[in-house]
Amino acid sequence: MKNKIKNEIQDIDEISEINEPGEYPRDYMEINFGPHHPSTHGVFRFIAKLDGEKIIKIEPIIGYLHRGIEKIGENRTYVQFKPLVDRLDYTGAMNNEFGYCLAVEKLMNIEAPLKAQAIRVICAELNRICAHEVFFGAMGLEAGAFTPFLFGFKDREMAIHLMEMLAGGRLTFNYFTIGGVRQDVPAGFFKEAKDYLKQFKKNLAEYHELFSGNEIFMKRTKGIGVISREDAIEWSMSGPTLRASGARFDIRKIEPYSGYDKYDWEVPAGNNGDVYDRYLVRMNEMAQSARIIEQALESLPDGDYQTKVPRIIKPPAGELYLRVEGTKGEVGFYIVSDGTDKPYRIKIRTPSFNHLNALNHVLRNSYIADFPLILGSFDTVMGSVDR
Amino acid sequence: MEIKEYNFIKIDNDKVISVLRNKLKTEKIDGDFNLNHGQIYLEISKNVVKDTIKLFKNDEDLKFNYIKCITGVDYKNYLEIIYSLYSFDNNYTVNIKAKIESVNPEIESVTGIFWSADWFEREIWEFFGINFKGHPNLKTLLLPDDVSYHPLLKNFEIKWEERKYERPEIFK
Repeated sequence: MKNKIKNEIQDIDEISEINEPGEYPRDYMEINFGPHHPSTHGVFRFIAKLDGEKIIKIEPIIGYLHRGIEKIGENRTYVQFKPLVDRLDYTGAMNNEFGYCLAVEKLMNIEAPLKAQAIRVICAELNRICAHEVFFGAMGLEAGAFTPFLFGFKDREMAIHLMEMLAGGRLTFNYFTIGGVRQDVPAGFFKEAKDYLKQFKKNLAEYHELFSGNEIFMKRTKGIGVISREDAIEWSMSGPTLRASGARFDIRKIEPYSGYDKYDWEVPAGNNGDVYDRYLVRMNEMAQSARIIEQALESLPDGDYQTKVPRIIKPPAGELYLRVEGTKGEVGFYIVSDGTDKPYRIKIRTPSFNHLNALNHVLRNSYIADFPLILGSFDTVMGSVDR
Repeated sequence: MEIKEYNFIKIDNDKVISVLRNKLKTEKIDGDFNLNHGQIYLEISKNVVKDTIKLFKNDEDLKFNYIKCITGVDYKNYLEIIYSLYSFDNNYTVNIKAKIESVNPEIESVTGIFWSADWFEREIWEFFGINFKGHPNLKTLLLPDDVSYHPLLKNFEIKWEERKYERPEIFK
């Protein structure tokens, strides 16, 4: 293990040190990609050193979407900061809000009522389906198939419509409040949600028929971008990426929050750790999300959708790190409170940041043509990397 | 690759603290434990941070093999760095805290122990100005290359600047 780490760092050093063209045994080519988005949402740039078609070193360059959200957070009140959390990973906005609201609630020692908890779970899982449908569409484009994109985006619109009924927004919601949710479930939501779930099951079967079993897609994605379980943990990977590498690990199961332990569902995992497994894990997760929503709708308790919280949110002095399972992986908030209405420090830990950190390790010795597929399989959103 | 199952393990914080305390005693490292919102915080001197993390990672009983988060906080007269470690096998979490002086802040890098510490440390270096000794690749990550400030320090204020825009000659 020790040698392995040493080699990893030495390799990076050696390659970056040798720059004289005469010193290379063969001709290496250095290419620059970007800044644009080859397969991510947002602006991403990388410099790759190639030996023929093989990547020997890749250097991701990020920061084009940096908005200084952590610094802005120190200058705003807890409530004013909440809408900004949506803008981190804008395909999974509900899950970001979930983490932030839970963290502030835990700092204040309050808990949302049972009804709010169930509504939150419904929102988070609907948003997970949305995010994975975006992934499904984008993955199709990466592999050169255009149809999945149309299917994914068309069906995603139905889930967005449901969330629009609850929150009023399509992508960035600002729906969760500290101590509950902003408004009650509207009349007619249950019927529409049940119709949606019925339709969604048909859609999912269609996706599998259309794309998952496609022989060209399988040949294209099996065996590339392989990550072992030990490496995935070492590189702080989380979410579907970690699960595809042979670890049945889900924060919703390990540290259950908001009543996730009440529902009956499974954690999908893969055992090859390649691009195809990461794709399949996400597809299976959508089915599990639908299962959770179904149970949550059936057992939605009566009662308040908000607890009474003071008009000015002032958590007592203290600090904590709280994490939830976002759509891409572990979303964590480290909040330091000094007893005033503004946070003293907010650190946001996002999964995509760590996935890009490991890019050089994952892509070494793979072909440049596989790059879009491997990067696409991490489902990176640059808004959450750059913050 | 076989799929490894990770299940919910109920943990007793007092027991975890006693286990950690015994491990530190054998290595002769001093540290204060305290609980904050149900999480374990360990405060140690900055000189032993690297040794402690190495011990926690390689120990057979603890196996802290995952970094949740590394972050810094500026308390005006000193800086603080917090490493949140997690053990997949035992479901243990520990937050290791170390104080760093605010003039010429410096600490040893843990990139040799955890690969994922690379970008976390680069980010802290650029936002707080903490120098990580032994980091192989310390350069700007999120900010432009030519910035001369550290934005997350408390003496850096957000302020509006007048835009210095002049119309080009041909439009005048």
